[in-house]
Amino acid sequence: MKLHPVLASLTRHRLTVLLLVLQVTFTCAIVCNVAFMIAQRIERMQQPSGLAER
Amino acid sequence: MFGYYVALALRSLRRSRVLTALMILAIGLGIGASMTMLTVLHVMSGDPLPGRSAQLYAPQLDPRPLQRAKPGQTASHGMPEGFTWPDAMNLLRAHRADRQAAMASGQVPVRPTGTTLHPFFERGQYVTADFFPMFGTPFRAGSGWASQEDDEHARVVVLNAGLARKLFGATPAIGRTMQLKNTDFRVIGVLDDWHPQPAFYAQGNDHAYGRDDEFFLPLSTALELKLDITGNFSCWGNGGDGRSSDHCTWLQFWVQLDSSAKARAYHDFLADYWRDQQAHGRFPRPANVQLPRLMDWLAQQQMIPGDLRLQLWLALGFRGVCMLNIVGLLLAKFLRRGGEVSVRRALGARRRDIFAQFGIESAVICLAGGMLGFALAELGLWSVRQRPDGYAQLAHMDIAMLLGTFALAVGASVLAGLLPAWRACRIAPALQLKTQ
Repeated sequence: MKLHPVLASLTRHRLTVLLLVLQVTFTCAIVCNVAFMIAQRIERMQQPSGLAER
Repeated sequence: MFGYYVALALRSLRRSRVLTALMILAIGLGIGASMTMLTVLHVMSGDPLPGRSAQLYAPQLDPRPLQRAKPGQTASHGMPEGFTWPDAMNLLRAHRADRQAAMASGQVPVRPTGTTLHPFFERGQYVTADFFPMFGTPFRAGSGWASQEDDEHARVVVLNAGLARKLFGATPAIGRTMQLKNTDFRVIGVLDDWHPQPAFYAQGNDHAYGRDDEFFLPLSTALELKLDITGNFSCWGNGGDGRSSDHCTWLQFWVQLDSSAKARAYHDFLADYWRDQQAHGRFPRPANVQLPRLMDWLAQQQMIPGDLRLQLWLALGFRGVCMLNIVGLLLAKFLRRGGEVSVRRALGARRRDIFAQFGIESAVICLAGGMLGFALAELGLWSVRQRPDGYAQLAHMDIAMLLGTFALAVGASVLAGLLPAWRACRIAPALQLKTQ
């Protein structure tokens, strides 16, 4: 596969590329953070209480 | 011209319905999420006593010994959370502020008489006489007590409207008798549903939101009858842990000072008191009097849960992503219409005309998104009110907040639409027309 035409088209539309990169970056950052926070919460909620709850 | 551009915008939006719906949805979700969290934080950082809070001060003294390494027992700013009984009484008797009151929170069993109600626990405050005039509590009937009744340990009580209704129904409660933990109290006043949020006069913690104190009775009476107190009770040394011991902090103390000159004078008085106590072998720490105003004190206490701040930042980040999406979608939409732009340019439209046309088109989308966002924010606030937290019940939108956030949201969205419009108006018409 030739990469050159792909990269060339990317350099032609700089603004669009910048926008897309920003979108993906921010979305990734927020989604990853939230996912880890939710995982931490669930972990904390499932700590054994030491009582026979059921 | 404006009407013509709006008509053009509507026509263009109707041409690509799915894209338009997507854009409106993206803006709506972003605005809805951020407006919900902004409103929650706004109502939580509000002024509990508007108009009065500037004259209210929370003096802070530190009677603890020098070595005190146990963490978790002091407030975050390093001062103890309360006053000892002797200090509170000394300041009360000194009478150096315009008004001053000491108080503590408590919970007592109420035994209704003459009704079919079972006994129940109720939360309230043990206060001194100045509490009512100092905080400007609205009375529905009757009044508070005088300092003489504090000295006499009078068996009197002021009810909040909720408890009065529960015990006495629609009949006037003034002069009636009610039983609090085996003791008869005479009702001398009924408050008009007084629930300042947060309940700043109690110890500052996240329970201060949504708490409703239903009765107020003299502090001296509560001490004599050994009524249960709630909240932090922190002692040190070997001086025993009695309530009247000078080794235990558990009281709140508030003063009203009508001018900043008086506040400075009171600050000096407190510093003198500190040094005077040092001469008597108390207050081993160096004098460090704090006298924050009500709002500063609330900020010090950091009552707003960290979770909420985090949620606000997440919502704002989500909104940022939505805005970026809008910029991208509008850019694609506008640039696809290069032919139309070129024809208009060739027929004599100036760049700024094209810019205005596209600017108005993005504004129309943003307005529609703002409406949707407002509906989503109301939905979000409703879901916040379903939470068990104390602050949840406060989550209502007020007019100022509504207009402010709405303007902010739509303004930011319109700004986001400007970049695509600017890009579109820079299309070279000759080049475009030639390729068609």
